[in-house]
Amino acid sequence: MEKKDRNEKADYRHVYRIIMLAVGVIVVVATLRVVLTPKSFGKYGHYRADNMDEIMAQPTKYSSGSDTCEGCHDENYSEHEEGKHKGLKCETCHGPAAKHTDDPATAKNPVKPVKREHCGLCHGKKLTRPKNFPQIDLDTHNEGVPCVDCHNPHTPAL
Amino acid sequence: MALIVKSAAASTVVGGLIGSAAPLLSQASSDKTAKYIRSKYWYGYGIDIDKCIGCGRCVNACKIENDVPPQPFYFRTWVERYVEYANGKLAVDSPNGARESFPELKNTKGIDKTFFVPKLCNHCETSPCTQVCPVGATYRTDDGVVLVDRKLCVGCRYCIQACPYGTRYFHPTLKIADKCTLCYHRITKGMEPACVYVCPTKTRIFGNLKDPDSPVSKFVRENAVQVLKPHIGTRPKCYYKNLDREVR
Repeated sequence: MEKKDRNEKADYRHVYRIIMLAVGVIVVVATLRVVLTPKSFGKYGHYRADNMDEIMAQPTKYSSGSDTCEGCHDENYSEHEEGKHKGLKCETCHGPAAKHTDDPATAKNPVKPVKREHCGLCHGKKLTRPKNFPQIDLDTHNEGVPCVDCHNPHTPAL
Repeated sequence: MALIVKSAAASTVVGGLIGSAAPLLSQASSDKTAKYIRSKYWYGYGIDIDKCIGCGRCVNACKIENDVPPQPFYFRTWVERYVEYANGKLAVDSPNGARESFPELKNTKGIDKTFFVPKLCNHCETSPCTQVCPVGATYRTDDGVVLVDRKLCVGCRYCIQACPYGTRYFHPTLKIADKCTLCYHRITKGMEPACVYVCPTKTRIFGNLKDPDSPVSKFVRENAVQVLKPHIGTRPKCYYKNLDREVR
C-alpha cells in the first residue's frame, strides 16, 4: 500500500463551492421574498392588508335606507308608513336606487313593478310559506288584472 | 447529502428571518379609513327560519349589488326549500337559487313539513377555506369577515373544495374564487348587507356581535340558535333559529 505523502495539502475546493452555492441560493431566495411580497402583506395576518381597503371602496348600488327616498317622495313614503307594507324598504320592490338618489336628474329611474308576477313573488299561494303570511292564489284571483289596479302597493290593504 | 439538507434548512431560517422583518420595514400602509376601527366589530348573521317566505329578494339584491354572474351556478346567497314527506323522503330544491321564488309543489300529498332555508357564507371563525389557501388570498379580517383578494388568487379552487357549506364559486370571467363578502363595502359604512336590507319579513338579521344591543346580539340572546354542521369545528357565525334536523 502506498503511504500518503503528508506534505500534500488536502483539496477542499469542492466543499467551498457547494457552500458558496448554498449561500447564493439563500441570498437569491431571501431577496426575492422581500422584493416580491406585496407591501401590506403580513400586516395583520397572512394576507394583503390593502385588499380590505380595495373591497371597502366597491360602489354601493342599494342605498342605506328608505329615509333617503322620503326626501323627495314624501307622499308615497307617508302612505307606505301607514300601510301594511310598512316594514319593507322601498328598494325591495323598486330595485337599487343609490345612483338615483345621488343624481336624480340624469341617473336611470328605479322601476315601478306593476306585473302580477312581481306581487306573486311574495304573495303567491305556496304550501311552504308560513300559514299566517298573506297569500293569494294568482291563478283564480282576478286572473290577468294587474294587482295594482285595486291594491295601492304602498298601502295595499283594501 | 448532509450539505443539501443543511443548506435547505439554512435558507428556510434566513428567509424566514428576513420575511418576518418585512412587515416592520413596511410601516406605510392601509390606514386610509382611519375612522373605521376594525377591532370594535365582530360581525354575525342570524336567520329566522319561521319567517322566510322564499321570495328570493335577497338573492336578487345580492346579485345586483355585487355583480355576481347571472347564471344559475353562481350564488353568494340562495334559498333552499325542504319538503319532508311522511314516508321519510326528503326533497330539497333551489331553482335559480330562488331568485324568482319557487314554483308551487307538484306533489302536495303526504307532506309532513316544508320550509325555506336561506344560506350564505357563514364567515366561520376557524374557516377551512382560509386554512387551505396556498397564496394567502383568502383570509378572515379582524372584524370577522372572510374575504378573497382578487389580485392574489390564482384560481386553484382549493378553497371552493374546502368549504363544507358550498358557499364559494369560481368566477367565470375573473377566474378567481368568489363568495359572499357580507357586503363589506356596505357594513363598514354602517349599512346592512344587501340581502338583509331587502328582506321583507325580517328573516335575515345582521349586526355586530360585540355590541349587545345590535339586532344579531339580541337574536342570539333571545332565541335558541344553531349553526350548520357544528360537529366539524368551523365555528360558523351564521345562527339559525328553528333549524330542522334534515338541514345539512
